[in-house]
Amino acid sequence: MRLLKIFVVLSFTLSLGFAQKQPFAFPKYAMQFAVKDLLRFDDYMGSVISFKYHLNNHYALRAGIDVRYSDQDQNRDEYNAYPDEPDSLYRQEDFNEKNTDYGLTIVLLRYFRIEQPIKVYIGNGAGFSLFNKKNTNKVVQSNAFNTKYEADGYRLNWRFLCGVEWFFHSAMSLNFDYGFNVYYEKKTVKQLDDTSIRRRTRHSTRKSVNVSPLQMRLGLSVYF
Amino acid sequence: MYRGIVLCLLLSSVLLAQGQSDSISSPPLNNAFLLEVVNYSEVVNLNVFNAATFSLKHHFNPRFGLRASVRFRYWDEQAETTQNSESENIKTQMKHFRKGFGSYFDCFYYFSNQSPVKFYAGLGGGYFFSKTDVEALVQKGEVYTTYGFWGAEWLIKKRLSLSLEYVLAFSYSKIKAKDDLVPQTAFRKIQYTNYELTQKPIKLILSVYF
Repeated sequence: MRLLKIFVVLSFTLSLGFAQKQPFAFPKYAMQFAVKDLLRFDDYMGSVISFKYHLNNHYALRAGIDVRYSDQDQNRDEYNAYPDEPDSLYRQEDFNEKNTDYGLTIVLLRYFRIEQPIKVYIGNGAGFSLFNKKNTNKVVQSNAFNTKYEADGYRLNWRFLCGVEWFFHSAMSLNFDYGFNVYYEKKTVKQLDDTSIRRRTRHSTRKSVNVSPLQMRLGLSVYF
Repeated sequence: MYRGIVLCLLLSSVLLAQGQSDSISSPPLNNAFLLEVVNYSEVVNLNVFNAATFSLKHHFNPRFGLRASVRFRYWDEQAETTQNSESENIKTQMKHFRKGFGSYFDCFYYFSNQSPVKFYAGLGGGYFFSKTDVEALVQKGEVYTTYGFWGAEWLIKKRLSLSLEYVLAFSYSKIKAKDDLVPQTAFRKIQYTNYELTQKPIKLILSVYF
């Protein structure tokens, strides 16, 4: 249904037409967005920004930056209340969760047939990201226990892509990419479970290589 | 769905059929109402920007300006039900109370001035307070937010522009709640704090200059 909507809007946009000026020259800078649905947009290559810089009419750099950080604390105290006595604490729970994830991806694009309304390009690039996830949960008073979990690691990726771009306005274009990603990830996990019955620690390291096709996304580039 | 397509086609035809849009580079007026085009669960709506009650933009000059959004909510509902029968009389009372208010201010700068599509960036901050009293749960929340934003604005007509905007926000929220598990016998106090640096969903903003 989503594809149908996008197709209807695209067909209508195509029918309006836009005459590209000749000789054609790419504006230097662009911000990129992914068309997720009708009038609904998403980030294209990086969650904070996806940006394109044209070195000249044939070469451009596309960069995406990802940043995520959160630190949550939750304290939960449960009391018994008595009419003639002070309230008594019978359960206390502290929970903390921290997540960080930073990444950068840069792709070099090479454009062909730039004088044509639909321009073809290929791209090749790499990226890395660092991530860390930590949570602790501690209960005192009744059924006391203490758990800790920590995972950290990094991810390297290399991507190859090819696609087409079509200008429907002097400063705006639509594009989509085919391609694939090669990921290498290393992740280390430490866990602790400490209860009144037993105390257990676990330590594991995982390395993985993953080759997957690029997620097909309709991109909107806004040039300035 | 059809409403969304009609809205989009209408917007596209207004925007794309006019060739003159290339020649408009800056709005002739300094103030604008800010609206947000939201597609939520297949329903396309026009909301006030920042989920606010009022949202305005003021340009000091073509490059520099301020945006302000004010948000408030108030809801107080009380209901009483009495159920009588031969064997019993049951009277139940229900109380729902919610209020909230907050404001957001930010300043922005346009890096390009002559083109119909302009890149801009800015910084801002805001505060939101809410209090909820529903049955046995009383909850107070405060959210402090500071954010950076960057986007591109396209002046489609002299008094109308569309912007797409990325937002990276750092927020600190604190919620205190008291929950009567069994009234008069046991209760629970919950305190929740959260620091978060996160990107917000990309916003499609419609500015109407006046």
